[in-house]
Amino acid sequence: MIIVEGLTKRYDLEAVVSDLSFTVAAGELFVFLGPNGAGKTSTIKMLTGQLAPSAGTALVAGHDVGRDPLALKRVIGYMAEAPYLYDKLSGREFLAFIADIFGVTNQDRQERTARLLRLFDLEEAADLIIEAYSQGMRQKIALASVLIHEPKVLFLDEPTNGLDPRSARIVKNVLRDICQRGATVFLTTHLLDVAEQMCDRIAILNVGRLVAIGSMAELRRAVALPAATLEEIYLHLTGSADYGELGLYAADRQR
Amino acid sequence: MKLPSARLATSQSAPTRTLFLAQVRIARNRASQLRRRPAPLVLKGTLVILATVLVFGSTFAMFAVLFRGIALDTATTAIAAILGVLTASGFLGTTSLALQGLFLGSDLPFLRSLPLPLRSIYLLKFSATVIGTGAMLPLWLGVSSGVAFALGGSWLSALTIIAVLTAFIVSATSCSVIIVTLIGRWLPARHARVTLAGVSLCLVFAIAATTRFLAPQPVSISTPIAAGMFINPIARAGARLNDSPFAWAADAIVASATGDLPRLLRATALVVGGTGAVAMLAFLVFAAYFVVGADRYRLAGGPPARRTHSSPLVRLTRPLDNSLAALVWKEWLVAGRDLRRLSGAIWPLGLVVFYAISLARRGSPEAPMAAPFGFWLEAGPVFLLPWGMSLGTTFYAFGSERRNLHLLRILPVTAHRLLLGKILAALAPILVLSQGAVAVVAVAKAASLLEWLSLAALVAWTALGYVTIDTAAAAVAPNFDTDQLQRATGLPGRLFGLAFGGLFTLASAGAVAMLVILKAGPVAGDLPTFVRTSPFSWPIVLLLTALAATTVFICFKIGQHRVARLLQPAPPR
Repeated sequence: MIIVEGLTKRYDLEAVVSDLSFTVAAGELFVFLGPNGAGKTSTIKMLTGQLAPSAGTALVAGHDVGRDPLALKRVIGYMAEAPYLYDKLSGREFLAFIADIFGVTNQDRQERTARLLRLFDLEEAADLIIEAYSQGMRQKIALASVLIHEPKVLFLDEPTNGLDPRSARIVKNVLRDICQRGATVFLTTHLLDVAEQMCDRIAILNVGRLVAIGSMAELRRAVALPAATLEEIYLHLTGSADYGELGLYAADRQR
Repeated sequence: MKLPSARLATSQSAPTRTLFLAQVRIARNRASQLRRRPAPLVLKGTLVILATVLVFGSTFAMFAVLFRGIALDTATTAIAAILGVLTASGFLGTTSLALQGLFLGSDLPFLRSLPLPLRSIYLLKFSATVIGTGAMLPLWLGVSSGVAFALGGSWLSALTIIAVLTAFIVSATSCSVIIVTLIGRWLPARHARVTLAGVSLCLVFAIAATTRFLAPQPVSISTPIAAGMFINPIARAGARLNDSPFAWAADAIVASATGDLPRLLRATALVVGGTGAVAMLAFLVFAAYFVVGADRYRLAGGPPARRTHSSPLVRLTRPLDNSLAALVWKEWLVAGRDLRRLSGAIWPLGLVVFYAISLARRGSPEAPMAAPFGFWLEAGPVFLLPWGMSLGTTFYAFGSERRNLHLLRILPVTAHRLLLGKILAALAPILVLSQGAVAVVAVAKAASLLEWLSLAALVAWTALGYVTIDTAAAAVAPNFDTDQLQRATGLPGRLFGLAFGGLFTLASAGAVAMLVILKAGPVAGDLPTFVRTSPFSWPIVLLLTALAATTVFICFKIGQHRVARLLQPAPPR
């Protein structure tokens, strides 16, 4: 469903993403991890046609991201880390707007809107303007909006940001359900336990380069730590395994 | 040893200085980002300089010639009238800038969360509003300098003009702050938007009436051209402004030009003193009512606790296909609930109403000019109404998207469709309102059915043309980073709109004028023979119509190209 070959992004002369190559199968829940500034969002933006790659190619749902952006956008859903919403529309109006743009039929739109509002516990707030929503509600309405046209590939940048535990649980279940129906989910998160519980495969990016990719078992084998958690693998691979440095702040305060 | 008061002053001014420094750094960082793309920066800079020089130069030359040899008293009252008209016409623009900056700014919640004295926030926003009115400066400077030059001005005049104009801009902004703050203080929680619209329309009427009161009576073109033909009526109107700030400012400018130092000092002291008093009053009013006003304006923008009712508007778009309809009703709903956009629209809307009433009242059907051109001479200017409305609504079509441009980028929307959606969304209300104005004028002038239909068709045509041109202009130079709606389209876009709008106006008006003359036939005896009898008359009508249509078509294509650029992924560097 996603085939990436030598994908590179440079700003001026500095490469923020270097020579990425990987594939993601249909129905797979793929998690993209990395420290802040590792190039996760730039990669997602290239895969969703928002950023032109400096080199390399990427096929998403059979569409070359550089060649046919419109056809690509019709079959994907993208939710940014800070979602883009029309604050002056109500939640229901915003869902209707997105559904109409994607050409969802009126009957499907009404049925899906009702289902998604119920699923994300937004029925009460559906007719209030989004400006009045809390951060968690904004996150949920944004997620509902990317699901309303039932995309083949879903790109989610930190989808559980600002969600309470119950909502985060709902999101996890929804994503699992989407994958079971054959769609692909490509997500980034800093919540490593969420990633470990949910994902089929994980890719770890550091300073723009792919340092590991595979299932949990494959990652453990790669770092030769058979019982390691994802957090330990992540810290090991991103150069933060020296746990002593994490204690610096406490030591500094005691001084 | 430092005095305690000096230390206190230093410590109190620190937050203000920090805020201003932050703004300077933001501007510097933006400029350094722009420097990465030198070509647009050079083009923009060149356009800004050219436009400034053109406006300043033409007004300077015009007023230097007009005021040559004019008596000092006449010149003083004439300048007072001109300053009065300029201030009154620029006032509502300042008011909406003050509203958007002081009460609706997106950074206000952040600034209010910081341990900053209200004075610092006020000074920052007040300065931004003053800078926002800078576009008027070349015009004001041109007028004042031209007059001073004609009266034999010196370096003293230059200093005086700068001082007086600065004082005027500060005074006008202060008055706007007072009005906006007081409206916010007493804005009812229920029906806030209706109240705001009502108050704003009253303001527009008051200002338009003032402008008309100060404007000279039309001069008959049969009168032989003589010195003072244009100035004397203006001066007569300005005589009504004795002992007002406009008269003091005019007095200062004239006194500086003639070297009358005591008169200059007296007039300047009055202007500066008056400005200081108004500025202080504005801050006191703001400080007293800012918190309650900000909350009420926030509620007026979109009542968070109230359910929305959008279905009637959505139903209106049913004839369109779903995705185009969505772009249209989204625009209506968002614009209708966004106080920034509403405040930008109220000025042209008010002017339209005022203009329509004025046109309807002017003259009578029994007047000697009634046949064969009377109706068109009196009602014809209605065709300009869509331009006024379009400038207040359509012009911000893309800049007002701000951060949601990214949302449009990830949606499957083509540039053609997005532009079309924006045009249709703006066109529908403009068409309805302008046809309403046509009906008022036609009834008032006892127009025949043919005249009414012809005027309605002309206005529909110009509405389509101006909306297309202005939407394209909005796509040419959108500014997604500003809180002030008036700055949501940059100068290149404004010049684009002005140039193509002017061309479209000339072509359309020319074609209609020739059509009316040709239709009048032999009765148009006073008109040059070639217009009625030339074999080229009809081809010229067709040529002008084609020119107007081509202008609109070219603008649509340019707009489409620019929107496609906006929707494109960011290019690799």
